Amino acid sequence: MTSLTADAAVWRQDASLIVSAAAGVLLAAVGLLFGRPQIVALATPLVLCVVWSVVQRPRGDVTATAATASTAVRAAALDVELTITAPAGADVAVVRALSPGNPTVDALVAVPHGQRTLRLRTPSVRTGTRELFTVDVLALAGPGGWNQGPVHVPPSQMLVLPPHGRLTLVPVSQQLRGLTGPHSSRRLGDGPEMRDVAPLRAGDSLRRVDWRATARRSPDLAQLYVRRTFAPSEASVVLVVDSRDDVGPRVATWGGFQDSAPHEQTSLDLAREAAAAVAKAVVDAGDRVGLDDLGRLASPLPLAGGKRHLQRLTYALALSRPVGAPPTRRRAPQIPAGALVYLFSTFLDDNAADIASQWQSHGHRVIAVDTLPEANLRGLSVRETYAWRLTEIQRGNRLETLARSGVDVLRWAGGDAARDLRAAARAQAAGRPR
Amino acid sequence: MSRIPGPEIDCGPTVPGWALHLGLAAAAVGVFLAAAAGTGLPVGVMVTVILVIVVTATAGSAVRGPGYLTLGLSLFPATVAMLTLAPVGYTWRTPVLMVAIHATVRLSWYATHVLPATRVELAVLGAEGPRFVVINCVGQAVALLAGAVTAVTEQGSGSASTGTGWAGVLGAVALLALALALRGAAVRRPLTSR
Repeated sequence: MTSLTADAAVWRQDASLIVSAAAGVLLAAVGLLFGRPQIVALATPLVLCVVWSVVQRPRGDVTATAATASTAVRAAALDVELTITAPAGADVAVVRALSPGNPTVDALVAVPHGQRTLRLRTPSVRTGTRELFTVDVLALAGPGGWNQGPVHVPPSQMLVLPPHGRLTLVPVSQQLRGLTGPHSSRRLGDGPEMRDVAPLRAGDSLRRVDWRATARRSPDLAQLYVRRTFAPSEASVVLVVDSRDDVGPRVATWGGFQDSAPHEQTSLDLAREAAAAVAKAVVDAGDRVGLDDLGRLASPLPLAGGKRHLQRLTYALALSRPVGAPPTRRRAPQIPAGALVYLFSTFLDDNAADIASQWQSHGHRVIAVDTLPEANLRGLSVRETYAWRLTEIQRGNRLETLARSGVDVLRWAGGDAARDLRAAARAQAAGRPR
Repeated sequence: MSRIPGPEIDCGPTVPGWALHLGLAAAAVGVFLAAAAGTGLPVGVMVTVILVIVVTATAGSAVRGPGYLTLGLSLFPATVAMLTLAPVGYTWRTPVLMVAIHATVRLSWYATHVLPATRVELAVLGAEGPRFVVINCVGQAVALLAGAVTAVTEQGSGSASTGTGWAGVLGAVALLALALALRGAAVRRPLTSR
């Protein structure tokens, strides 16, 4: 939970005090001048308003504190808790809140007993580091006449983690490693899957002696037979996120002059969610998963399994973002031998496709996940529309070339990626060599 | 096409700010109408003044200007109508005008701080109620007393101006009493440190 506090110090006089006093005095003066007592009487509420305001002038500081959780899993909306503390007499406040990509919202709220807590909510389907509300609070004296502020509360930031989507089955590497894990390897070991029955040799455990087989094959017990099993092993998967660009569905925003709306998922949001879903499926299956980022030269997250590693990986995904100009990588990041690679990219340039081809040529199986959102061409000029069409054709060619070279290409937005991954995993399981 | 949900401030039941701006225009028109009704003022003049008030209130709301101009634009013709055309003495229009003027003053304050799109919590308006009633009751009492004293002195001397002094004295006494009462309440109220 993080909180930001701001306060103001001076109670300023409101124009209403002067206006009411002036109107009251004028009415009374006119009434007295023209001998009209009812006009003098009409001045009474105005003068009383002024007297009430002066007597009830608030004294003390107004503070506003915005508190929010430092991290949250993506939901429909993000919340900020705003607490306003005001001295006696200041029982009204104007709250004005601005969240990026949204219009300003404001409300005139009561601050009874000197404190009020409000919940500010902004809809967001985005992930990563998100900036929440910038809040201005203007405290007002209830009878009018005095105000303090606006108290400016700077925007708080929240790390929004991608949710772990449900993927029941995903393809993993066919080259199994290690001596533990959910899969059975070709090697002899202590796994649950039976390989054969063989004569007892030095080093074999007596617990493995198959007495039935022994009785059948060697009734005189001249030779003992043991049951031999395959060794368990695990598969390795490396997720590679292309965080070099982050584009929204509206192509008009790609120039960088406009922000994507908070209710639209960008390509990086989709990549984060897709990677988190695949990572969850891999870890749940007992395999190992690692993470690399094409946009960063920092060391990748190494292969590991377990819930803590999944949590670490989710945080790393949430923190991935475009930094500076998109770098071009000549050499593909090094992938552990035998690992299957999931590459999450928009494929808007040749770099990601080239790297996928390099991995493919090195013997890794690569699954390219296209994370470009479904394009919305609203607001594009004719020239921009032509430019988009050319870009789309080039992108299509790139993906087609990749598919022809043996890379599995999936579309995450708009397609049924879960079904495609399940089908690929089943096809792989049916023909997996040990 | 479904509406995209925007950010929101979770608070109690609210009314839109434009309702207060509308209320200000209505109260300001009410001030003028209460003062000018039954005075024989030409309809054209009345319509013109009402239009000016409504246009000013709308413009003030549109350009986010303070609402005090609307208050002034309603008070000035109302006072002129009261002075020149309305009958002398305490009539039905005095209490109505008092409520309307008070409402216009308060609504002009709200309109100054509230944009048409601002949500105004009903609790704020609810807290305004007791204050409004107390101030108005004192005002109405002062007006009644002034009217009564005026009537008495008019019967005695046949002059309206004699009662004005009484009204002024009574009003001053009432204001002083209220000020002292509020002062006492303010002293009892704990002060927060600056």
